[in-house]
Amino acid sequence: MRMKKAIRNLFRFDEPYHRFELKETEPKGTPSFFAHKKAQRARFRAYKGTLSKDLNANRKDLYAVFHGARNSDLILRTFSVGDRVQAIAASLNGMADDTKIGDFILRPCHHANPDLLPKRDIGAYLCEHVLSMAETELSSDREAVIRAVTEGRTAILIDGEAEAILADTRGYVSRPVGEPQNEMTILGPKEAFTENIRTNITLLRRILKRPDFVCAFRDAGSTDHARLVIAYLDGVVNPSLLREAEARLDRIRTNDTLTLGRVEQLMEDYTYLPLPQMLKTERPDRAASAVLDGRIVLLIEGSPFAGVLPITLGTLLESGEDRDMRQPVGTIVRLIRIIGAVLSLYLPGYFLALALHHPGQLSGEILETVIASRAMVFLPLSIEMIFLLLVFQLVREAGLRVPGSIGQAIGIIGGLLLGQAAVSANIVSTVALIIVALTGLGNFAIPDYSAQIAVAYYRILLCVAATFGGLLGLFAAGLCSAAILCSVKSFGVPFLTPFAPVTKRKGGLFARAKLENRAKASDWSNPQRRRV
Amino acid sequence: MNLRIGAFGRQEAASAVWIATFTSGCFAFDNHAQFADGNAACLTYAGAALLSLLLFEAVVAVLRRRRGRDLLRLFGNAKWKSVLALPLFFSLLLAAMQPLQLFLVTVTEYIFVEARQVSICMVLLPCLLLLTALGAETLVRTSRLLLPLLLVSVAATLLLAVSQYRTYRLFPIPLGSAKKLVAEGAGTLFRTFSPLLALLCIGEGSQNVRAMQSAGRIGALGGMLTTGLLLLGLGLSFSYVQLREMPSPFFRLLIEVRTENPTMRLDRATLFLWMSAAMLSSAFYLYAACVLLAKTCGIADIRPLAICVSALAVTLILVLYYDSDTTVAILRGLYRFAWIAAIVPIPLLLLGNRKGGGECDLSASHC
Repeated sequence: MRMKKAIRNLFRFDEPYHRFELKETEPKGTPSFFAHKKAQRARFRAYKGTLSKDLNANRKDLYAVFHGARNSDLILRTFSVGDRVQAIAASLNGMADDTKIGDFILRPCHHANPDLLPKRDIGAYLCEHVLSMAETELSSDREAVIRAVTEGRTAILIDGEAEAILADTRGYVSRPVGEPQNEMTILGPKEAFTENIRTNITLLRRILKRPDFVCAFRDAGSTDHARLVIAYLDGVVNPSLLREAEARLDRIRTNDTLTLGRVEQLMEDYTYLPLPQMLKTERPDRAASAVLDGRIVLLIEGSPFAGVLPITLGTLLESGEDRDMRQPVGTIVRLIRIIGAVLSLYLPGYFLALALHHPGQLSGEILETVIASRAMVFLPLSIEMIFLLLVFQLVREAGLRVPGSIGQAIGIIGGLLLGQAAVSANIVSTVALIIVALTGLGNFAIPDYSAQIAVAYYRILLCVAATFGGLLGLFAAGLCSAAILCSVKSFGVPFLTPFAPVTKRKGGLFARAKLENRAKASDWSNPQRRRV
Repeated sequence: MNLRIGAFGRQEAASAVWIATFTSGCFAFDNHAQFADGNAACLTYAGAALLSLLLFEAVVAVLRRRRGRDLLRLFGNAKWKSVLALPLFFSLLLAAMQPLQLFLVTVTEYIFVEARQVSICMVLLPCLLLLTALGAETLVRTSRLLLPLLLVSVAATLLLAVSQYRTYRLFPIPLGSAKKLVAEGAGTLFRTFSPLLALLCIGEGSQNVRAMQSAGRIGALGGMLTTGLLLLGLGLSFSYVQLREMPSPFFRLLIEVRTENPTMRLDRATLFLWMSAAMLSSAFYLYAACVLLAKTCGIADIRPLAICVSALAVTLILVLYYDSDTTVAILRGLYRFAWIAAIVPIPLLLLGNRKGGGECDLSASHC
């Protein structure tokens, strides 16, 4: 659908340019504050209505809604309250904790004194005097009851009452908090997000002990009704940005199971840009830092990552422990990382351009070495380089998909044995191998995995440009890429902020700024107030 | 309207003007006239720069008085607006062609000697199309990124060439032939005023007229200073007789630097960096020309115009390639008298249509 729209836009020139942009003077056309609630209401329209006073009718209704005949997960446990009133505890197996239901709902209800039970409002009485649950609420809304059961809560339906008690019995099996796998640091904290959204919120709340830290639950937009949390600092985050994020989430209608990567693709503006427009981090400290900076964090059920928006290119080149290091060391590390990224992007293309089109730019010694190393190689230099770059990616992909130590072994075998064998067999030259090895090392210096992949494949494009046009092709491709990056906005924020456009920055990209005692958010996301 | 002007700040607009002024100033087509009887380049350049700035200030003052945000406001509802817009459009088109034309000559003469001009243009065209179609916001932001690299490369070139500077090469300064100086200055005026004209055309994207004014001032002064320094470096490195015959003296300077410092093999990389700046400034001019035409003729979308105008510019560069006496004569004539198209409509705009000036759609504080 997006492809169709993109092709249509190429040939139609009458459509206005209406991408969301975060401006100081907000346009009037932003979505209304309650847009997402309307959309959610529409989504659950089929379940609208109120509960019946007839217990049997409610039971049949729930049974039909949850397709009880085929859905064995639905538990409709009939019991009596104080041997006087019939009730049903409706829950989903695996989502609700059986022990909680047994110990804190069924047992107290069985032992309830029938003489003390009122004739009306039994639900309210049970909540106040019988149930030993921390979180209970009364609801007569059919939609709320259905939603509660899908979330793992238990709905207690009472005979003669048009209200159900919704008790929080959520307790499903989840992975314990572990160490980050992709964003490992030496000095930083060792905690990582898990697939459990509640645990993830707790991890954030443990860092951000503030009353204005809001974690708003909502439906992610998939047909499986996965839950999603929008976390932000109320009063700091730009309200227009928040509304835009909510409006984009409202537009998600998918039959697919939602993960953070899919949510990002469904929310972003520039689908065909290889670089990500949302930061995916598995570190709670990094997500919390982004929240303090006036940005929005998305958490989604089943995803061990948090999505940070908006981002800039600088965000993708930052590491979690940058601010934990001492300033000079941090600056050097960051510079090395940027040099690595630039080498990774341009080195193979630049070498190809010089060797193929401008050999006079290489010194005699280097030229002799190149010629000598390629004496018996039958592949043309450009094909050899692109082949090696692809093999490098192959080894890397294979290493990633194979578990644990075997993956590391594949990397070593691929790197050493395959490279050595290829040189011995005169398939590749040693110079090309060195260039690709340096490029690969530089690529690993980029902290963000999505950015690593984008750079890895984009440099092949630069190699092609350099092969056909030499330095002219390489510079032309570089200029076009820079222009495209300048035109990109991540949720309304220009991607190359704070350089183009220039804004007041909290820390430099090249040199890490000295840490100062200041409680201010970065101004590039145009927060409501900068003082946090 | 989908003109893709966007919104940009002072630094970005100043960077775009800076780069455009530098490329237009350095990659001048007609060395023969500039160095005919001595080194008149710096002298005429300074005079032309001063006049351009004065003209820009006059336009901005009128804009502020009439509460307009760009040059198009001065056209108002006049029936003859397309008559005035056409020469401005052609002057911007010529301004865009000039640096690219010189680059085509440099690349085919010195680097890809066996390549055909069409092959080189096939690399330039897609770049130019993309840059022009992306719009003003992208162009000025890309300029902001490129400017520091450009300045470092110019400074490094000038510093590394110090050993071959000879003061006597600056002489003679042809002060005697005032008529020639004025004629040459008028030609240079076209190159110094074009960046400011382009900025005036896209002024709607800047925060307000004051921001546009300061961006124009800073960018033009910076660009003129950089160009002046490079022209001075060229004058100190080569005699006027040598410069008169060189098709692209700045590249010769780069080669000299490399000969003096064999470890610094960056002449080609520097050349192509400057080429990127030239492409960017050409796209800047072409985009401004497109905006001018679109607003005058009421065209809603900039992209078809951008594609057509970019293709037209590259075609003209190919057709008027610097390879025969006839084309050289045509080009010299075009660039020598292009100032008429760029400058003459401005006083007419400033003086005429006082009542019909466009109304500002923003509050007074913005103007």
